[in-house]
Amino acid sequence: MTVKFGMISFAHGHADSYAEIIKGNSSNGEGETKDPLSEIVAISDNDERRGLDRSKKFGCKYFRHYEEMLENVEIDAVVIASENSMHKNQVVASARARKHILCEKPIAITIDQLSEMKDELEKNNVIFQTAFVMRYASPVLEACSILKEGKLGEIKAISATNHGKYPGGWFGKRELSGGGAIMDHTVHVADLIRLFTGDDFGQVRASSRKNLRSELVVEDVGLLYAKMKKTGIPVSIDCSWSRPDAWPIWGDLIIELVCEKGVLKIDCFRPHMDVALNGGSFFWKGVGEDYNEKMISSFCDSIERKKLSSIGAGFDDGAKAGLVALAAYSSLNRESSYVDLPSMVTVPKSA
Amino acid sequence: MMNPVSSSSAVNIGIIGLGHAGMSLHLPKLCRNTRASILAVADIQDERLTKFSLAYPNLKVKKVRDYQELLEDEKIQAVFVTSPTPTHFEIAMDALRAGKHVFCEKPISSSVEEATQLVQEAESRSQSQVLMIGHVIRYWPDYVAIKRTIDSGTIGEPVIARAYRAIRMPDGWEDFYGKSDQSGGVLFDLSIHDIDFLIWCLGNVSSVYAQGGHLSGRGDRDLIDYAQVHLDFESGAMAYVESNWAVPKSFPFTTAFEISCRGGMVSVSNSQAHSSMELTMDDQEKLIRNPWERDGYFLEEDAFLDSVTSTPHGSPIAPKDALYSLKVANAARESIHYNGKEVFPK
Repeated sequence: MTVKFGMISFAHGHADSYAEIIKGNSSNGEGETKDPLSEIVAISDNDERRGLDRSKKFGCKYFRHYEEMLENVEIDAVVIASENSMHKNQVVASARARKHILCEKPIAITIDQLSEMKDELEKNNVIFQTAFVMRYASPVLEACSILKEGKLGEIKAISATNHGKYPGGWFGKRELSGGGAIMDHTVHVADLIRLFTGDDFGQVRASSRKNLRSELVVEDVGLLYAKMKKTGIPVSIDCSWSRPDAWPIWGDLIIELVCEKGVLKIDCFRPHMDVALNGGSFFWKGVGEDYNEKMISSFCDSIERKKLSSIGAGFDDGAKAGLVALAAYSSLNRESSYVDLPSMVTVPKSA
Repeated sequence: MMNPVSSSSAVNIGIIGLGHAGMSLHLPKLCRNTRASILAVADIQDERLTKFSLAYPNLKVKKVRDYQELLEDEKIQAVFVTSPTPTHFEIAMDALRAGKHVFCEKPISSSVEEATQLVQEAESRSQSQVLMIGHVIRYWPDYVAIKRTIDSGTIGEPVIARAYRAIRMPDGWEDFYGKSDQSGGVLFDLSIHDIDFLIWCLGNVSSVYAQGGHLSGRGDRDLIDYAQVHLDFESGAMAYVESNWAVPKSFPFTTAFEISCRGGMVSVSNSQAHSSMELTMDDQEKLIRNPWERDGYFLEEDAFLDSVTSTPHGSPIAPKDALYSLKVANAARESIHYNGKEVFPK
């Protein structure tokens, strides 16, 4: 089955990678062209220049408004990679139009948004996948199977980092992003920690003081401390955009699991080759598999089987990881003490 | 009273405690330092004294079981207290009162009260005697490079730091490490290195909170063998300090430090990527290290010898600084005991 995709926005840089993969190209612009996984039928983007540029590049129709795209074109699924604050309306509209949805993280920036999305998704029988691409990373899969074997015993403590450079653009505008580093970089690791522990976050506290980039209005540093719900084990997450521009890679995703019978550490972006260019540029280039490609391919399979794959992150996964970031913000406001993870209350149906 | 010492002559030294710190960390470096002359060693265990004789057959020194005997020796000007943590206070106190200059391994004590008394004693004698607490990280080449880079201003104002230190809880004399009141747990043994270094770089701490606890099942039930410590500094910077004793025996000693500042970041670690030597032998854990000829131990000993031989004496690491680092580590301990309560160390 070839899935017909409509792309909603290229505001998030990942959209380009996803589109390339759907077209059968490797997402880093190298390597062989494969048989297209699927096809891109249309693109919508509220940035007209960007949208027209991509429609030319990917050879498909362009719409200024996603609502028009949803109404007028025959598509099976949408990829939502807009600014965080816009996800909710786009998810709701896509669900109503009975399109399957792959949504960039964080899937929403408020509890109300999450509740409204949940409500609408439950009413319409569509597949919703949160783009938690790290679930497809081999070190993550390997860690899951090692943990499942039980040789390490129980997990006793976890420390994680998801460092990054400042992504720039709308990520620095609170009304579009919903927040800075905490909003952007908490959820991937929070999701993996839920996956590894089979437990939810119980309590969260966070600290964020002065910024590295004084001109930024959103926070660019954050340290989260948490206790898991059932076991109470301590967890720390450093979600800071603390990597300078000259850092040889965008950032990292590292998780260390201190277990009864050993320590397991994964460093997902460590496999790399060093690249040095005349003119002064030095950087790491990833080697091996493309995690994005595995995710898109799995999403297409899910659509074919009419059920989200067991590895894919669904709406609840996206929401529960998102709540960790939201709890971190509310702990900041209460001046650093643990806050309980909020629950989603379904909002009454609006007119 | 001490005899005045001219800066050209070697300092006569006694070493109290021939465990890991005395035997493996300090002795090899002190033997190479021409400014140090070892006259006596003390250890309550005969087998350690024997081991010492076998390891240093050419070193003609007095070997005693009772450190008091060593302190009574008037030729000895300075002592190295490299005994287990719970004995630091008594031995260092006796040594000061015997008129010796004192180098004491970190932590200064496992009790803030004892440490406070010891610092008072040292300060009352600071005109004539030195008390230096061996916070060796202040002399460790890669950490020194970090400190110098921060101080130079090239990377701007510090904002967020991250420190990591892990090794299996050592065995120690009569398993003292596993006894919370004797060793102070991982916070007083490992975290204190990074806490002290961070304070040295970033200044006073305004508040502390921490989570962690007893993970490994080894040692006392109330022993903290794993900690995640959050430090807020008066400067507005913050730091995360993770320390772990709850690792398998085969887990290599691992350290890492990074600090992000407004103009850039610097990071170091003892991993392969930052080291100059790898040693692999049959049936032994691979060893990755930087075999500095003048490593942190040599340099801190040298700084101590410097302060002993120069006037006025000034401890390279002020005793009150070591006390402050202990108080911050103790604040983290208190925070863990009270479910993450924010503590304001003074």
